[in-house]
Amino acid sequence: MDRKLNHRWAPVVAGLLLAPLAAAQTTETADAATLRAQIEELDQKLKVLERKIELQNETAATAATTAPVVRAGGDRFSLANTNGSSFIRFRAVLNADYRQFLNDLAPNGAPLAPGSNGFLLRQVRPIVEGTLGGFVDYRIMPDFAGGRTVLADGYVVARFKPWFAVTAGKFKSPLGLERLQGDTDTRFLERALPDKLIPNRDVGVQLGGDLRGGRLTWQLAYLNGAPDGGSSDNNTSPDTDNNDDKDVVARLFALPFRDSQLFRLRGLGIGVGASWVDSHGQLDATGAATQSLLTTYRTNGQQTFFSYRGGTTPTVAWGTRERISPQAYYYYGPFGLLTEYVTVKQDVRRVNGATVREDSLTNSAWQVAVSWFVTGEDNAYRVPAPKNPYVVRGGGWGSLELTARIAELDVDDDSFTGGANSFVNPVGSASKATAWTVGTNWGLTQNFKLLLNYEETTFTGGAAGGADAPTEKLLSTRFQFQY
Amino acid sequence: MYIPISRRLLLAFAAAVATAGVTLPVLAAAPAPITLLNVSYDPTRELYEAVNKAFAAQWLKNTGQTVTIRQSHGGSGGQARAVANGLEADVVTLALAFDVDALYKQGKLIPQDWSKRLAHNSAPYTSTIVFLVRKGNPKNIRDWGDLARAGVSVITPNPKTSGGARWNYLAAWEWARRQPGGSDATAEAYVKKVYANVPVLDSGARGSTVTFVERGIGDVLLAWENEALLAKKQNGGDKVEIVLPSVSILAEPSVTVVDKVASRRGTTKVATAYLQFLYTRQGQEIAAQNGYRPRDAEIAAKYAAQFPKLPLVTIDEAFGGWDKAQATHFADRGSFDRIYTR
Repeated sequence: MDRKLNHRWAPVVAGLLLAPLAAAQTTETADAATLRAQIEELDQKLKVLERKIELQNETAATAATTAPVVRAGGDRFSLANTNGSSFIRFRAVLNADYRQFLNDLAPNGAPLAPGSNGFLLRQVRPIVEGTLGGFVDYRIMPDFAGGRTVLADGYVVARFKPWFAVTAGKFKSPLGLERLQGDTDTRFLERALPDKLIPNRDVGVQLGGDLRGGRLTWQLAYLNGAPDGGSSDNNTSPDTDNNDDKDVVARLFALPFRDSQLFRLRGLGIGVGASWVDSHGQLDATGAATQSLLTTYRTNGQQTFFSYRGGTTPTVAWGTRERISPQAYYYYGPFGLLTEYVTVKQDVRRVNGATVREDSLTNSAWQVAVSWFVTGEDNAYRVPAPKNPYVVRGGGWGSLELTARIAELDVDDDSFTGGANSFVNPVGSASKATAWTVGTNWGLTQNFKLLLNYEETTFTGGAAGGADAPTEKLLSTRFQFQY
Repeated sequence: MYIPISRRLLLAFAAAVATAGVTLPVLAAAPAPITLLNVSYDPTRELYEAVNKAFAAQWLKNTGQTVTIRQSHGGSGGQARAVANGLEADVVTLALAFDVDALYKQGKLIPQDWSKRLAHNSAPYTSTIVFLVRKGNPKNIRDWGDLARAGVSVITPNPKTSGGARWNYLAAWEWARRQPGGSDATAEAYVKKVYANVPVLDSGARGSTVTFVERGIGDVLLAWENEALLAKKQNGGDKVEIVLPSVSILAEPSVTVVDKVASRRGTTKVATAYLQFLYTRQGQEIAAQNGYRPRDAEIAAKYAAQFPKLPLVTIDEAFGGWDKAQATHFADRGSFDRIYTR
């Protein structure tokens, strides 16, 4: 019986005993679910917070990409927007030279003027340039060298298409190959004799552009006009036209193999430049020229070796002036060659008493210049940066470039005929100048270069009795700084 | 020494001809490589990677010219502003016509009638807005009304910067307006509840996908259909699934050449051909493969299973066009500014 009783009450007893335990388990399950829900909620909150921080960082990074970019490095100081479509860049060029003549007489036979040997600032040019809206380029470059202030460049370029851009202001006349080379890219202290016949900077407008991805460049300019080797700042009123006639200047230059598989020819560039104007010089009541529209030719030592007659019976421009200049360069590895030829046909007139003479005189010049980077830089129209820039206390020594050049300028012999009625006085003006130059360029860094040139210029004629003018022997050095 | 003018001019002409004669044949041999920039909206990365590859191959074959197409992606509105502010895009392929219109309104970079230059209002493919939920749909989200429920976390980008977000917003708004007793007032109240459930606003659709799929935030992502298909494909279908709401909106991403930029860069011809390529069978096939509804009927039929039919409202019929929708909802002091105050 006891056993039966036990069996009958066993479930009850067990239930009574286990009930609190089951209740506890139910409570625990509910608590666990609540806890799980809370954990999931907290997990979501944590993830949301993390994502918000992530997005904040992304926003900050994006903002950084749209903030103005300020660069202050060895190659430039500039302010730009993020995509570079608008920027302003501050640059400068400073050329501090020393000239030492190894001869005593100038080409006209007179002793060299005091101060001919000495230091001089050849160029001191702060430059502000840039682009606005990825479309309009601008450049303002004064020059403070020589104790005077000149605006060397001041122009804007509206780039409508790669092949069509309009330039307005003062800029280099698009004619000569070496003249169009940047002042810090030329390989000699002074440009060669053809530069004496090529206009420098002028005021006007220019159309131009690049075709075929830059393999063909064209320029067509309408300019106030500058005399041989001259700039519009040489005018009586600087950068103001000195006559009503305008120069038309055009140039075509091609790099036909630039992107070809003919690697050895990639650095070949050939082209031709030309200009034309019909202009007339002006005389005052005494017969002196107020505007002869002609110029004098100087050596690279800045000694005059050719000039038209002046005074009260001057030779003046009287008709057309045509220039043609075929030109080419070739760069391959460390080797570079630049050559150009220029011929100028100038109509002139001279009134000497009752004698009136008019003629067309043709002067021409050519040069061949070679350069070689001993240190192996890849030569180019634009000077390359040193492979191993000079570093104080160790590092590289920069680039070393050897250069050589021969050039000649030939004046029309008809200039000297006619005796007292000639257009040029043969005493004091040579009919030909031939110059050879050797040099070295030590580019310590991209910004600092030392140049050393030795140049001899010999003359045909120019002295009394038909003798040759004294040879000019010029040793010159340059400390060039640019950024 | 006098040389006659005629002879000198002849000499100059001969020199020019000689220069041209030597160079032009070489220059003509192979057209120079060209580069395009396609500024697009957020989720089109994969689409245009495929399009660019196919088009470049076709262009090279047809013209001999190598074309490289660079891509830029971001929220559609932000991308349009970037182009208007100077980003040099040859073409834009944006999420909605309003953002393309901005290029006319801000800087006249394109003509006013840009949309008429290509078929289907210059929208070569369409898409719509769907829901992407966690596998098994644990919150039982079936339609737009579920987004306003308490405890449902909704992921959608910021309509101020994202084109996709604007489509999301308007689809939700229109659903609410179509409910019994629905009006703009009830729609605004509903949308306000939905945005109260949005824990984080990304700037673009791809960012929201990252938030939902990769960061594991939220219960439902309002997504471009193509983005939802891509997310499902990339996750093997074991993490997320697509829910089609009872009604959605016909999204028409629009494309155009940016005339002023292309003209200046000399890329108009190739840029135009690039956009025309989107309408070719090959272009339409690529669009379909990347989750965009093709315009071409045959291609659409081929991919019908991928794009189930659902009622779609259009921006014109429901909101009177993008200009009006933008002014009412997304401009400063529009409905979004009223309902989203965080």
